[in-house]
Amino acid sequence: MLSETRMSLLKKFLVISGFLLFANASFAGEDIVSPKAYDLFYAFGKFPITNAMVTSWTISLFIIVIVRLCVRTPQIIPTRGQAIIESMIIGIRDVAEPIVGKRMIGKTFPLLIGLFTYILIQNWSGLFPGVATFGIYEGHHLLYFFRPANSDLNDTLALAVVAFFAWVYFIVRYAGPHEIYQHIFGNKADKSSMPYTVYLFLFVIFFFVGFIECISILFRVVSLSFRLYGNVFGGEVLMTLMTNASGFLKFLVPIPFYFLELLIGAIQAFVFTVLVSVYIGLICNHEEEHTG
Amino acid sequence: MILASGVSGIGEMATHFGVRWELLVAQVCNFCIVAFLLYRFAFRPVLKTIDERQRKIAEGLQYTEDMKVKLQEAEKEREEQMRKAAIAAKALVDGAKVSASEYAEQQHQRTTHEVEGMLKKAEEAIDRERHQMMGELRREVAELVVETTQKVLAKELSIAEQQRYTETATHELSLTK
Repeated sequence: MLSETRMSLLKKFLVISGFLLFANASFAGEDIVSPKAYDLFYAFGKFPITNAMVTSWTISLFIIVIVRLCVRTPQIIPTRGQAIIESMIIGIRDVAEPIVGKRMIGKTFPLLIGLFTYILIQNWSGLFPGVATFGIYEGHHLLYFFRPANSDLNDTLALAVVAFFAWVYFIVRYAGPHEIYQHIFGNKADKSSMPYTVYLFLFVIFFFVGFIECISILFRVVSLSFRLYGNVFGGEVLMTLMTNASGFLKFLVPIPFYFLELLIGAIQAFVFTVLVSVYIGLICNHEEEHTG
Repeated sequence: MILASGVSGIGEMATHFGVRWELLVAQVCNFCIVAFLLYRFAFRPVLKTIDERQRKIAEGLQYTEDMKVKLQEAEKEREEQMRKAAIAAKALVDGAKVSASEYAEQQHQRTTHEVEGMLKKAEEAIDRERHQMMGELRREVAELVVETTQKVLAKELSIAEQQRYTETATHELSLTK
């Protein structure tokens, strides 16, 4: 009975995979993907609407509808859809809780689960039929109607900015200025294990190290956004190149890369979420380290 | 100068990758709205359900543990009751045995007394009858002696002689037993 169900799921999966492959391989653009999104049209006269924005809004709506349909009214005995969402929620909570600490998990969880869900589905949106496929030619460039949201630096930068400001809010609200100062500029040396003059000198060293730490903190926005953007954009380039093979090969060659992209999409969503958790936990989880 | 070149580099990079503040703000708003809606209408109810389920599981496990403890206590109490009942039953049986033994002893003694009394009475009756018979026998023998003496002597004995012969015969018979 179980093997029949598995076989049925496998068949469905293969059919869907085949459809995705056929759709993308048939209509993929000839040119290498542009590093930036195209302006499709202008709203309110001059506000640009890019292909990445259209995709992100469409996929956002898709996420909300799908997740809501899966959850419906949550039951004590979960439905299949609810079980999927629950497993994702529990998975992220179990990963993030030891990092941000028990005190902070309830406060940070809305941000973390939102980041993970949004990034995951937006990453995978590049594999949806029609995304980075349909468009209009303008000169030698195919202007896609739908470009994966995370292959636009505006989107990944927006996520990083939100994560950064949320981080600032959490550390100011729950750690306090003293803890922040201690973490960045404070002398972390053990006073009893060195001469007093050395210990005093280390104050100066740690203070200058604090400035470097500040720069690295500011660069988190850049690193978070470029890491995600680079992976997704690289995936788009890769998939476009794979589907540029001639003849029937263009239907076969990309198959392994679809699975690779699925894996990369999940890993990048996870990495982004975990890094934001780590940044918050580094400052806000100090108390629990002391008590633990 | 370094700062100026840095800012210039960032500007060039932003242009190259198509970063524009209006797009950035739009995507920030988009993510915030999605995250809020997802959490408000999907994740928070699911989290509440998960917590509710965990609470119920915890309560169920606690209830099971409580029931186990109560079952053990009930089992102990039952064993205690059984032990007490066994002791009481044993005491009752022992008491009954003792009572039965005492009753049997009493009955035995009473019967023994009764039998002894009956034997004594019988012996007394036999003895009395024997004495009575011996008296009658002596009297009859004395009368026979007097009568035989009268016949042997062929004369009528006087009252005094009859009395003397009778007493003599009776005396002689009483000696012989």
